[in-house]
Order: sequence, then structure tokens, then C-alpha cells
Amino acid sequence: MMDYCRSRKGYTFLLSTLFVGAVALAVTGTMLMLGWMALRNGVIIEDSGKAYELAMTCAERGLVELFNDENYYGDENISLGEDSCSILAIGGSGNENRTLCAEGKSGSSVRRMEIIIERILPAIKTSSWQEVDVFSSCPS
Amino acid sequence: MKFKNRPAFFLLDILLGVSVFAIFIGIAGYSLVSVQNLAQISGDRARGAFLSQEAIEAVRSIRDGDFSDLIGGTFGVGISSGGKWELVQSPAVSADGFETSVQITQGDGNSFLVTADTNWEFGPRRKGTSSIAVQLSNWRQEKETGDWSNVSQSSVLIEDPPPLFNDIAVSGNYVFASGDADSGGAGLYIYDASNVFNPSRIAEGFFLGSSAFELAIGNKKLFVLADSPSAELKVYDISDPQSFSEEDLLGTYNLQGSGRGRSLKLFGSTLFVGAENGEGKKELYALDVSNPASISEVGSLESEGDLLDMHIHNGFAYIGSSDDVSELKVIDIFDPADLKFAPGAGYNLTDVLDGKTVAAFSDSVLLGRAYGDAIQELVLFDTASGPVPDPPPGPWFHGVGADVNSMDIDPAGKYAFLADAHDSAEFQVIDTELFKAGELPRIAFFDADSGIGRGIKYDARRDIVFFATTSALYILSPG
Repeated sequence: MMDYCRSRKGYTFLLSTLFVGAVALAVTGTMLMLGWMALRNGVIIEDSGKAYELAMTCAERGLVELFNDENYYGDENISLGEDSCSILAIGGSGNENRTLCAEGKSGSSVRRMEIIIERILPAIKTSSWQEVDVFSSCPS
Repeated sequence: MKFKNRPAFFLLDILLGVSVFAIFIGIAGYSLVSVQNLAQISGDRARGAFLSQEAIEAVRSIRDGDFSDLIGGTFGVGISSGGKWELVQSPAVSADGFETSVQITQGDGNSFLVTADTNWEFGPRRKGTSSIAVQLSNWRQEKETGDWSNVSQSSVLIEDPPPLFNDIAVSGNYVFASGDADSGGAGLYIYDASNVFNPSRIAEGFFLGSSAFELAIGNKKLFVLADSPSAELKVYDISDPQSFSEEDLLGTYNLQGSGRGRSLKLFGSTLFVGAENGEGKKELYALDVSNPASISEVGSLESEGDLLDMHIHNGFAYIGSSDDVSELKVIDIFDPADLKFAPGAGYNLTDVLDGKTVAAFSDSVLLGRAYGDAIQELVLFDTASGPVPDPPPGPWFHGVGADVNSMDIDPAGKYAFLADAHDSAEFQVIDTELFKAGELPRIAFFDADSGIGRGIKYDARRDIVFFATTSALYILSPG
């Protein structure tokens, strides 16, 4: 009788199950993470595009304001739907050698434009218009 | 019969193992499929965003060609037979099934709100819209300058006692004019020129308490160079000119000596101040005015003669001076903390008459001098080869026949406007192109009967000139 009831160790089964389970869980977790990140990628790309256009909106608005009044100071926020953009304080004074910096934000994306204006009137002439990570030509 | 002890655990093991493994494989497989679906959904959104942005770029390209080509409505975008972007009536559908349309809405006269929407539907779980908006502005417009070969008076404001105006600064529709207080004037006058045919003086109760020389405006602040012994520079908040008062004083600065300040120009948060010559003192100061309550000196430079007028152009300060051997001075102000004369330092003109007013534009500098029998008071320099004139070519000379007290120039550099002490032509218009061509440059003048011309400011926004004499402020227009 003792033979029939001999304890048969299930370690192999248990370990196999745990191992396969762990691998499956790891794969599943990774896949879910990848899926979430893939989904975020699309949203981030869209937000980045929105932020870019917002920055361009503020940059162009700032140029028009300067064109209308060379004493325009900037330092204002502009709303466009649910998002907004900012015109930073404008550098320089008078008709020549001005700097304009604009920033657009959408979701977690931020895009920045830095414009160096050679002259404002009779027509705006820019010597540089570039996207930057950090503003370097505008007053802080 | 003896039963062989054959446990069924082996079969059970297999069944259980296969079952558990299948469940795990199922979960992993489902997650793989889900990831693929999510990647597709994400790719659709990225593609939609790209197409929306491309549509906006197409509209921007059309705007860049001609702002008037933009009209309100909902359109698709396409490429014309000429290879340029164009607006079409129906939405654009890409080869992979995305449909993009742009909605263009007229804003003010100088802007359009453009919203690009891209829609897709590839099944119940793969559908969506990517919408991106932008405001396109007409920043490429050009300001037309009228024909100043004829001048007409739009309006005049006569003050009593005579303000003895010195300088004019303009902020929007408001005009600020400085003057001497010797004859009982207020020192600083403010006008609402919203209507150029009917301007009016505002804040009439304000008295500066001293004479004022040059003015500068920036960041909603007015910088006044006053004949005050211990506060030559005064800074006022002009965010509400209608209620301008002494309470708007934000800060002052005391230059070396007493009442020596004569000229000033603002660049960003740095104010450059030129002073009368003082023994052992500096004549040019660079002041940090970012905080008007705590103005500090950034740099300074010693110079001969009084620095009577200043114009900043391409990183150099062009200065009209009383220095007998350098009526025009050129100072490198790229680094306000390290002011230094540009190589060559300046230009020495015939005789010793002061350089009273100066304007620099494109590759030229115009200097107006005090009247002299043996000189011509207006001098045009060519600065194409460097900041300091090094003729030839030029300089070119024109006899005004009187002190040239103040000068301004239109942004295109075609017209120079003079306020002078001529008996019958206190305001004169100079064509700089004719001047450089060696022809008679005066193309128009205005005879004011209110004293000599003392201050001038061209308002490019409205193509008018504010012209100040001993006792009156005129608004002059072309034609």
C-alpha cells in the first residue's frame, strides 16, 4: 500500500509550468508594452505636427504684429482651439536686427522656432528662420 | 492478479501541461495580434497626421505665392499641371485610402485659419480622423511708401507757451514729444493721433519739470533723456498713454556729471546714451534697462566732443558729434560691455561745424550739420565697404542753408526727412537715390510759420511724418 501512495514529486511539472508561464507572461507584457508604445508613437507624431504648426502660427502672428508696430513686445500666448502657442519677448528694437522666438505645445510635444529678422519695413526680411531645441537669440 | 502499479500522473501531466501551455500560447498569440493591430492603428494615425500636415504645407505654399489666392471654404489639395499646389473642390484621396480636406476660414484681413482633416476607415477598429490647424498670416506684405515729392499738411497743433520741441517718438497712435522747459513748456507732450486730421493732446496736466532731449520707446516703456542734474534718464510706463502721469515713472538713472545726456537709442534691453563732453568722464554709456527700477551700467567709452545724435545700424552706433576732427563717429556696440571705436573711428569733415543729426540705412549714412558759410550741411556717405566711410565713392554734399536739427528716414531708405532752421523750408524731403547720383536731392519742402524745424519722426505704418517746430506739431502726408 505504501507503494501506491508513494509520494511522486511534481517539481518537474511545476517548474515547467512556472517557466513557460513566466516566458509567456514576459512575452505578453512585452507585447502589451510594445503595443502601447506603438499607439503612443502615432499620437506623439500627430502632437508633434500640431506643435509645429502652432509654433509657425505664433511666429507668423508675431511677424505681422511687428510689421504693424515695431514697438510690439511679444510675450503673449495665443489659443488655437484646445492648444496654444507663445510668442516670447522680442529682441532688439527699431526696424532692423530683431529676433522673434515662438513655441508651440500640443500634448507632450513642444516645437520651437527662432527667427532673426534683418529688417521689418518696407517688407519683412529674415536672415534666419530655424527650428531649435533651445532658444539662443531671444531675451530670456 | 497483481496490479502493476501504473500511476496515471503521466497522462495527467501531459494533459495539464498541454492545457497550461496552450493557454499561455493563446495569451501570447492574442497579445501578438493585438500589438499588430495597435501598430496598424498607430501607423494610420501617423499617416493621417502626415497627410494633414502635407495639406497645410500645400496651403502655405499657395499663400507664399500670393496671399490673395487664399479663399474661404472647404477644399482638397492637388498638384496642378504646372507642378504647383492648388486647391481643388473635392477632398484628396491617397492611394492607400486616406481622405484629406482643408477648411479655410477668413480671420482678420491678414490671416486665415486653416484646418486640415484626414479621415480613414479600414474596418471597425481601424478608423479615425487626424486634424491639424494653423493660422496663416500675411507677413510677406509690403508697406507702400507714397510719393513724397509733394507734401501736404494733414493737421497742426499749436502749443502756447512754445514747447521748443526737440524729439518725437511714436507708439501706435500715440505721439510723445520732448521739448525745452526754458519758455515755460511742459518738457514732455503726449498726443493721440488716432485721427491724423484731428489729433489731440492728452495728459495735459503732466509736467516733466525739466527740459527733455531725445526719446526712445520699447517694451511699452518711454525713455526720456532729461536735463536733470541727478536723474538724466527717466523711464515711464506707457501701457496706457491716456492716463499718463508722474505715477508712471518706473525708474531713473544718474549719469556722471550733471545734465550731460544728449542722445539715446534703445536696442533690446540695452540703452545707449550719448553725453556732452566732460573732463575725465565717459561720453557713451551702455545701460541695462531690463529692470527700470534698477538700471545698471554695462559698459562705457570715453570720446571727444559732445555726442549729439545716435543711430544704430548693423551693430554699430553712428553718432553725430561736436568733435572738430570727427563730426561722424562710428562705435562698435556688438558687445555692450566692450564698447570700442570701429576701425577708422569716424570721419572728419571740412570746417568744425557740429554733426547734429545722423541716420544710417542699408549701405549709407546721412549726416546733418550745423549751418556754416563754407560748408554744405547735409552729407551722404557710402558704407558698402565697411562701417566707417572710406571714400570714394562719395561723400556727396547738399547745402540746406541752415542748421539741420533732426532727421529721419523711411525704412526703404529712399526718402530722408529733415527738420531744419531754414527760413522758408523748415521741413525738407531728400531723395537719397538722387543724392547718390549726384543730382539735386531736395524734392519737396514745407514752410512752417511756427518757428524753426526741431524734431521729426516718420511713421512708416501710416506713411506720415510728425514734424515739430518751435511751437507746433504738424502731421504731414505725401501728395
